[in-house]
Amino acid sequence: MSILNSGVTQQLSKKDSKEAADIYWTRYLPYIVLVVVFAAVSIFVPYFLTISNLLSVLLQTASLAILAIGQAAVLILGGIDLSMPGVMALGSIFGAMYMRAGGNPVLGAVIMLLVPAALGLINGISVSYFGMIPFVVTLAMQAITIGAATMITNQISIPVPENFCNAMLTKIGGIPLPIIIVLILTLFLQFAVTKTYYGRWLYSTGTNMRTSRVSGVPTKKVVLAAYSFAGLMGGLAAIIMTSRLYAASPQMGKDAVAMDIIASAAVGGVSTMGGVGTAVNAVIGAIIITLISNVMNMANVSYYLTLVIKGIIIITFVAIDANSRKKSTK
Amino acid sequence: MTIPYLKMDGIAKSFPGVQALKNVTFEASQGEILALVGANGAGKSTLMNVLGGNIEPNSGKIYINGKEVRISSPSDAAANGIAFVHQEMAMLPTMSIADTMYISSFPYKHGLIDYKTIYQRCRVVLKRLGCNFDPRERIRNISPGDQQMVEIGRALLHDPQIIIFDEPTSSLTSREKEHLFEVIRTLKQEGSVIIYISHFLDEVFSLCDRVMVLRNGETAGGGLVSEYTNRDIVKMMIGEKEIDTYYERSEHRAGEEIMRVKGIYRSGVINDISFSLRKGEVVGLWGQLGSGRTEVARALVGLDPIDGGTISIKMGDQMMPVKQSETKKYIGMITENRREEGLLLPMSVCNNMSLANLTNLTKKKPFSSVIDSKLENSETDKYVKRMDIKISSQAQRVETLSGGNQQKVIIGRWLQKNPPIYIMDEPTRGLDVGAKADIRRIISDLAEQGAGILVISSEIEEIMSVSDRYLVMKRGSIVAEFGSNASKEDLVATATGAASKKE
Ligand SMILES: Nc1ncnc2c1ncn2[C@@H]1O[C@H](COP(=O)(O)OP(=O)(O)OP(=O)(O)O)[C@@H](O)[C@H]1O
Ligand SMILES: [Mg+2]
Repeated sequence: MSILNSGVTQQLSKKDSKEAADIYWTRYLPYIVLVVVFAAVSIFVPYFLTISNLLSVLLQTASLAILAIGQAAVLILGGIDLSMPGVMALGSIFGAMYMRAGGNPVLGAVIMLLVPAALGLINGISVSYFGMIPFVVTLAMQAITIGAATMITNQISIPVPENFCNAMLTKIGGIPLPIIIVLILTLFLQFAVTKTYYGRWLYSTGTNMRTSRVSGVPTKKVVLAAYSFAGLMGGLAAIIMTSRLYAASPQMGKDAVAMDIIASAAVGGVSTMGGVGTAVNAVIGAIIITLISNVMNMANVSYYLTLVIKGIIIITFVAIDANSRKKSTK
Repeated sequence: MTIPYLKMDGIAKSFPGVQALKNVTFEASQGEILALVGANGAGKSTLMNVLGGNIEPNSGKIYINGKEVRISSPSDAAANGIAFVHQEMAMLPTMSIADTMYISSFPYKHGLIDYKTIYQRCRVVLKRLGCNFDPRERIRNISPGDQQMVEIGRALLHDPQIIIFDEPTSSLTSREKEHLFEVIRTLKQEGSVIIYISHFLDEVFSLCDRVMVLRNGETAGGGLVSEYTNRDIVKMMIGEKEIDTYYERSEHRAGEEIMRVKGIYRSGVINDISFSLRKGEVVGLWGQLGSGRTEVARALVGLDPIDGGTISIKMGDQMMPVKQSETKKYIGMITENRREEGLLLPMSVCNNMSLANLTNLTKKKPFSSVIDSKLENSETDKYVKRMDIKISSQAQRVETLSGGNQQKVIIGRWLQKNPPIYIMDEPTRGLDVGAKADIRRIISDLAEQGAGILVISSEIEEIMSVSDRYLVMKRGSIVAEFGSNASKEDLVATATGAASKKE
């Protein structure tokens, strides 16, 4: 059993995997895509393969990776969280306002973390205890948070103290702190999701909620926890993004960010139909999407064409996933 | 000798880790009903899925009317006049009857679905089955038996010559069953080839002309039904090994009360249900399909809401009222619909069997939320052996198990968890004769060890062979209670309301 795979593809023995190989080739797709994109970029972009450039790409990926990890938890449940960008922006703004008013930077960071977590909790309660549809709830939450963020700030970004940013961007052994955070978080969550019973509950609930409920899995709590966790990841991303921008801004929460998050998860191999995916999948997807965004940026592709391309990427990968599932149930 | 209308020759099919069919040859003629029987996992569904174009065999040929045909998709099968009534019905409750029947082949007119033709044709086909539904009715508004008729109606739409029934009676009332048999006999008279898969040998004897037995993917024998006895067929199915289908009911010694249900109700569904269950006791909840028996079971574990009433469970030495959402902690529940509420279909046998017991399969202290996979595997192995589940490895996905083996996985899950109370709704659905007897033995053992068990079954022989006490339900209420000396007539009469008037 590999720690890299879970849910539906978990525990495929050698014997099975021989014939199941064609069914599960999609499981390796994210790695293939990563290698291809990476190779293509390193051929066409000079200096791409330098340590300092790679680190800066990873630093750029950090917040998207964290958001994608949060999204993965919800997608595995068969849900979706469209409110992550807005929730992140609002958390960042509250924290920045607190610090601007002279508040302690550590408490400022805690606010950035907890405001999104609380909003995620509200999403979770709505979905699990009130049985509301995730798409609708989180879309509404995105509208609320982005609306509030814009109103509060009047569309003007709020600068944050330099010492806050410098602390977040310190290098340990030459590696920026956010990259280390993502690394540790990913390893920890990968373990949690593949090896603990909480992880198993997540997959079982996402695979079949009713079966799980009959079997005594606390499905409502699992759903609640997943949405709250997504909110919390929005908060962590808020801290990192704010310190990289030296300011909080409602721009952080624009709808298109949700596209990048969901694209990361889908490209990385997290199924939008539930039951499949891990933290590693989400992070790999985030790296791929960041690379693609960078290339399009350098090639001066227009913003709108970028949207078109990312939309197509999402649909393509969701289609591949759906198709491989149809085959596997035959 | 005339050539048979249908011949499958030398069919072989292997799946990862298992050879499901080995060189099977199979013949059927027009105007006959052929029974296809065999133990769980023998390969019956696989063989018929080959014929129905759902599975591509590794080798073998199919002849219809002496001509070789290639069937590589369900539409090929339909084109060759083959129709399949599946073992596991997969219906969408919100769709209309007409849409359900036509889902794979909507006729179009001017680019739009031609509903006029559809409705007309549906009415004709349903009429032939003796049903007078409005084709616009939603699936969820008709009974499971009627849903089965719709499924059969779908199969009959294109006037098939060969009709396959894979365990069609498991969710039917006895009246619906009789009705289905009549329909099948009519189809036979019209000259169709009927292939009938069942674990109920009495059905085979009363309905079928010929029988063919599969064992471990091989033909184990066959011939005219009239030439065999029940015992002969069972022997062919499971081989010379000790045939242990007979089960002698043993009296259990009921101990102290373990669960007390008081006045639970849900308006329009169940009324004022009160009873108590004791340790070491098997209580049969008997009633017709639709009498509310399943609804009571579901209410007890919080799967359906209730409007009032209390459920108390013994904790320590006190009966404590338990919230409806908490009762699942103490009750092992086998639901009647295994695909929707029993299994995690795309997940492994191991993951399915440990699902209810995960919190007991963890490592020591600081890692007490980490699953000990060695322990998980050995526990799974124990109950795979105990239940004699046919799997190729613990990693096999449950959706690829045969129907009967899927059912065993669910039962094994609860044995592993070992709760103090069990509720079993049709626990032997889809199991072969040997496995059925084994389940009865397991129920008896559990009671012996002190569990309190509530059993629901549509088979009166089954419920009578395990129960110490009976609760009879009618129209959502418990209308009578009997001790272990109740007769079959008592039970049937009170459930159908022929004898008693009290309600
Ligand atoms: N897609 C699949 N992948 C792997 N194994 C499979 C698959 N489909 C069937 N099998 C295996 O093939 C064997 C035969 O299964 P089949 O469903 O034909 O049995 P059956 O005779 O219909 O049994 P039952 O009476 O329990 O329905 C079983 O061991 C089953 O696990
Ligand atoms: Mg079968």
